[in-house]
Amino acid sequence: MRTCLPRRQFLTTLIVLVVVMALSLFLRLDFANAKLILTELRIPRLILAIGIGGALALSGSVMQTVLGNPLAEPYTLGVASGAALGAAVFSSLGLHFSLAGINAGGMIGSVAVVWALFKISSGRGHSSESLILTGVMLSLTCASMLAIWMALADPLGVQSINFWLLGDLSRVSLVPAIVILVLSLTVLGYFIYFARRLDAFLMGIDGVPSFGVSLDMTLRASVLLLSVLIGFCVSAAGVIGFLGLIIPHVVRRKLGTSIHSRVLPMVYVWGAIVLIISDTLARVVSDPHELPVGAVTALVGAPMFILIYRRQRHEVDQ
Amino acid sequence: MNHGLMRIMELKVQRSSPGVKLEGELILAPRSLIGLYGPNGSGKTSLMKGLAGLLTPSQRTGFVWMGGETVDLSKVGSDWVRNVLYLGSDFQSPFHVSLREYFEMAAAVSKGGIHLELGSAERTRIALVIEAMGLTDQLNRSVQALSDGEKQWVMIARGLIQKPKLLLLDETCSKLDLDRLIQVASVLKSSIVEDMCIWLSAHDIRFLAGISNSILLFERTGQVSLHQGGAASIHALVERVYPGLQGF
Repeated sequence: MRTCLPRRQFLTTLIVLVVVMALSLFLRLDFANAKLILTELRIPRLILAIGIGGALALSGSVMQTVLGNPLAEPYTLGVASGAALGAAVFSSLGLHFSLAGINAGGMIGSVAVVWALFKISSGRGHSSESLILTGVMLSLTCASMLAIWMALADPLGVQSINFWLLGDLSRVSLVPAIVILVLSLTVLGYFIYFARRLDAFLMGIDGVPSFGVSLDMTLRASVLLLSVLIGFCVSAAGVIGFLGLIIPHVVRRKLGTSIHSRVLPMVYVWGAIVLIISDTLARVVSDPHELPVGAVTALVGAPMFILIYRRQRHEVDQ
Repeated sequence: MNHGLMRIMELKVQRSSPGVKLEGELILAPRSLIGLYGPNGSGKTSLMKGLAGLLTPSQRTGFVWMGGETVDLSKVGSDWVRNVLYLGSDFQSPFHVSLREYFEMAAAVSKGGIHLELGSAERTRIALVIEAMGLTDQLNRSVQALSDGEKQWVMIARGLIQKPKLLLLDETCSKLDLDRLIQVASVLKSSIVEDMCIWLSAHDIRFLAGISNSILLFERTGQVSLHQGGAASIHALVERVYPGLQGF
C-alpha cells in the first residue's frame, strides 16, 4: 500500500522549519548579550513553540478523524477550558505546584474534565456525538466559571488569567519546554504507528467496524491520550486557538490525501512552523510590547479557515 | 453430507420485542446469493448486523460453522469482519479519500488487517474487481464527490475486494439505476464472487427473485423462513408478508 511519506514535500517542509527557526532565534537579537538571550529566553521558547505547535495541529487532525467532524479541534471536548480554569484558579490563589516546571493546576483541571467527559458520556457507548455534546457543555461550564472567577479576582489576578485565555510562550524555561517536545513527539509516534486504525474512520464513523477496527477502543484511547497532551500544552502556554483547526485542513488539501501515515508528520511540522512564525510576529510587531500569540494565530487563522471552507464546499458541490 | 461454505445455526437477534429468529440450520453454498425480503421493521437489518457481530453480544446469539470450526456469535470480535462483512445503503465520508485508497484499505483487511501491506494477490484482486465493475478510470476520484448511486456501486466493489466468506448487502442496490441493476446481477453471479456467499436485502421482490437462488422471508412476527426463488413464487411471497394487500 502506498502509505509512505511524500519525501520531497517533507524535506521541503523541514527546510522551511529550519529557516523559520533561525529567524525566530536571530531576528532583532542583541548580539552583545546573545548567549544569555538565546539560552535563557529564545531557545526554550523555540522548543516550546515546536512542541506545542506540533501537538495542537496533531491533536486537531486526530480529533477531526475520530470524532468524524471536520470542525473539531483540540479544545472541542473542553479539556483546554478545564486546564485554563484549573491553572487560573491555582495561580490566583498563589498555589504554585508544578510538574516538571508545568503548572499543576492546569493538569488537574484537564484531568478532571476528561474524567467527567467519560463518566457522563459512557452510558451511550462513547459515541462521537455524545462525546462532542458532553465536551461542549463541559467547555461552556468551565468558561463560565472562569469568567466568574475573573469578575471576582483583583486586577492583577485578571492579568494573570488573561495569560491562560490568550496564550503566551514567553514564560517557560528549558525543562518544561523539552518535556512538552518529547511528549508531543511520543504521541506523534503512537498515532503514526496506529495510523491505519485512524484511516478506518475516514469512511465515516459507522463504517469503522467494517474495516476490522474497534470503534470504541480507538476512540477512547485517542481522546485520552490527546487530552493529556493538550492538558500539558495549555498548562505551559495557555489556550492557543485555530492551529489545531486549520493546519490539518491545509495539509490534507496540499497533499491531496487524508491517509494518516502521510498527513500526521506533515501536520506536526506545519503546526510547529506556524506557531514559530506567529510567536515571532507577536514578539516583534509592537516591540517592546508583546502581543498574545493566541490572538495572532486566531487573527490569521479565522479568515484562512473561511477561505478553505468555501473552497472545499465549492469543490464538493461541483 | 454437504456442509457448504458456512452453516448458520439457531441465529437469534433481540434488539426489541419480538426479536428475529432464524430457526434450525441454514447451509450456505459457495457462490450462492440469497435475497432478504420483508416489511419495514421485520428485522432484516438487525439479523444481518447480528450475524456480522455489530450488535452488543447480549443482542446476538447463535452459532456459525465454517472451515471445520463452530463459532459462538455472542463471542466474536472485530476480526470477525474477515468472515462476515455488513455493508449498508450509504456512507458519509467527511474527508477526501480517493477510490484507490478506499479499495486498498478493504484489500488490506482481506489479507488479515487494515495495517498490513498489500501483496500481489490483493493488488490482482483489486484490478480484477474494478475492471469487472468499470471503475478502472475512476480510481483518483474522491468518495466525497460520488452520487448516492455511485457510492452504492463502489461499496459493492469494496465488498468484493474485501472478500469475506459472507457478504451482507443491506439495501446496497436501492439507489442504483436500471443499467447498474442489470450489471450488478451479472457481477454477483460471475466468477469474481469465487468462494463467497452473498445476502442482499431489497424491497423490489421482482429484482430479488430474479437475482437470488433463494429468498429469506421476514414476517412481522419475527419469524424468518427460506423459500426457493423464481418469478412464479413472487405472488405467494408477497401475499404471505403483506396479507392485507389486495390487487397486487
